[in-house]
Amino acid sequence: MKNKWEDSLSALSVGQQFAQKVKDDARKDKIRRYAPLILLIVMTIIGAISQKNFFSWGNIVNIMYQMSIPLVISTGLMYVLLLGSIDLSIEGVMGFAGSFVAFLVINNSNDNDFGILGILLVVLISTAVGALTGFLHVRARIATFIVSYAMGCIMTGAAVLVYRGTPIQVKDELFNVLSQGMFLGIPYLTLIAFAIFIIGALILNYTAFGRAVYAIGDNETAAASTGINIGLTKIKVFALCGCTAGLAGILQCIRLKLGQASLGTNQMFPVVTAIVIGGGSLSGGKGGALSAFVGVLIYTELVNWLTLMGVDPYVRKVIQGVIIIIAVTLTISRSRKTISK
Amino acid sequence: MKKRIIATLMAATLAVSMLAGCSNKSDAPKDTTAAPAETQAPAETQAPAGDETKAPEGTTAAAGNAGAGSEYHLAICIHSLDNEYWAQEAEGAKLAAAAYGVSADVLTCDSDDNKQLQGIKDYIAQYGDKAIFVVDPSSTANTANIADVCEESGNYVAILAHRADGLYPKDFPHFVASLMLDDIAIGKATAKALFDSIGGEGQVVELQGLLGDDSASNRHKAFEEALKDYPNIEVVDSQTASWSQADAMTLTEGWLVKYPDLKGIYSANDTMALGAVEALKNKNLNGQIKVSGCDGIEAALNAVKDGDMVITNANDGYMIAGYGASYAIQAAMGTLDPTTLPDGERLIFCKTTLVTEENADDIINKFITTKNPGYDYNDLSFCIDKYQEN
Repeated sequence: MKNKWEDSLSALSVGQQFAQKVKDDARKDKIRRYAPLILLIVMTIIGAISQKNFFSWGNIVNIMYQMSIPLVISTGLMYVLLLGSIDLSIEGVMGFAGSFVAFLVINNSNDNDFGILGILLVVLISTAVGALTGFLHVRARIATFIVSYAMGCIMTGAAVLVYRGTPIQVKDELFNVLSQGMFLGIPYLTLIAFAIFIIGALILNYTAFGRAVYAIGDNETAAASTGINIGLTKIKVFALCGCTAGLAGILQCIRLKLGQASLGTNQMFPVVTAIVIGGGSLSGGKGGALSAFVGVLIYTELVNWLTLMGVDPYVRKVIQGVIIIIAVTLTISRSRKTISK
Repeated sequence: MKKRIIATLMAATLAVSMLAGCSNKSDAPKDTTAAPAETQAPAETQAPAGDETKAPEGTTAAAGNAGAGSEYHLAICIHSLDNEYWAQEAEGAKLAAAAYGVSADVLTCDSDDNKQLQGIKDYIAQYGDKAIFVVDPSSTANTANIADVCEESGNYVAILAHRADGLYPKDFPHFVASLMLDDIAIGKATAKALFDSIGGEGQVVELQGLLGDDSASNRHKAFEEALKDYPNIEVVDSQTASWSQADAMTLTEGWLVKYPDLKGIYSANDTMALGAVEALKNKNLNGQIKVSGCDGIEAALNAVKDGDMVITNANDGYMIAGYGASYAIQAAMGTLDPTTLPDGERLIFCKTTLVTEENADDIINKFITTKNPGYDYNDLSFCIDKYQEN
């Protein structure tokens, strides 16, 4: 078998071999690029066939609700992953943002009534926290997973300090309207999430900053040699990620009406998984807005479908894990020499 | 050079914060208990033991022991203060300590076995045989280690909520008592109240806690036992939301689509029940589809009051931790000799309170507003609902 392959290779000239390889790579790349989309369609078809409610309007609204928060998280996280970094502070920032916004608007534990102003303040703080994470990473040269983990711990602690053990209940009418209101049958929450995501996608695709992020993720040294300010770009990315994590925390609080640190618990890794399913890469440079969107949609549909199927909870975890592995195997890029880093 | 200075500073900060973390996690207890304990101590040294007339207010009931109590130190070992129930435990144990004139410290362990054991050992090193413990263990398995450590050093301990298989107070003179909640009875009571509220028939779903957690499996078992008496209740699905409000909301949204005739939702805790309530609110079904919870956190008590939830159970940290502390304190002071107690009477199921629309206001007032249910911590028998083994 091996000899035959070598024979066929030696029959070609070096130039032909190279051309063949480029062609092969291009073909593989094409398959990889469309794999997530195909997966999404297959999942949707399976869902529709196995569950008659899957395509009911009520369930479509559910999926829109349920993808809102992951979509907002993914907006900032896709930038971070494009750099080849990770931001583990997202859950802590979410918990803090949700707890603090509950503290600032009309609630059951104090007389605050800052409304929109409170929301803006929380977004501002979250952005600053993200920027600080980025600054520490760039200036103190601490690996992102350590500095962001530490920042996450700090924010979780700060969240608990805000409500001192008894989660604050939101009583603000604004929050009720935002969580229950719909426009043309689409929940406000989803519209807000889509707006945030689209802004993030436009910045990524159509600005010099977005192109710099791709360049750094692909090859940091090369990017530096073209005059890109690596440090500043990274700080901006983490600030953006902090901002969207804060927004996600606020949206989560709007959904649940209870400000507590656990608003952020187990919110980050599903989104990382979703982005990777969508074709993103943990080592940076690969992926983008569309792949993040498709990934989040696949993941949300999967969880929703498993709920509708009503499988045994133990089996459900196993199925979920198996499907994720299959999905990532189909879509992940294997062109790099190192398996992980 | 500059970097080195910063590094030194940071190391110092870290060390200080760790010390602060080990000895006393929150500022609140310092204000509330340490201060009264200090002020009481001199007053009581003047009053000879047994002289009840001169005892300071607030400790009148325990005046007989107050003089001896002031030199003892109670360590309240809990997971953390960021959970209402654990915070209630800390409050209850502090109230009990104040009743006996004992000073109290809260040791948190963030559910880490080693951290909890180390905290206990450090406390013993600090106060020797004057250290008393009331422990909500980091894990069921850790209860055996805690009993061993306290037995070895001769410090009295009461262990709450969990007990490893085969671990009995009777084998340990210093393991005064095990105080637990009867999860099965509580789960059955909330399930039955839920079934009754929907007229004993119709479709019901169950929100389970974290898989593998013993409270979660007990409450699931309780749900299934309660079902035996209600043949017309149909359980259409049972899923785990891992104690999470967000997961519970997502699951409930799915169920509302799939089961339009759904009548009730049984939840293994209040946080998940509140997630279900939020999903119902979005469809204007709150109050129509009945929800039951368990634990008695503030938001759930309010939901019961508003009619969004049918019932919850106030697990009452004031009771279990306050009386647990009382058992250990009395043993240390010599007013209670654990070795002469019948073995079975050291295995206690504590009283709890079912909360419905009728008593919600009262419970909110006692547990939330005043943070003092007004228990007499000298009357040890008050906390006993029944014994664990009959």
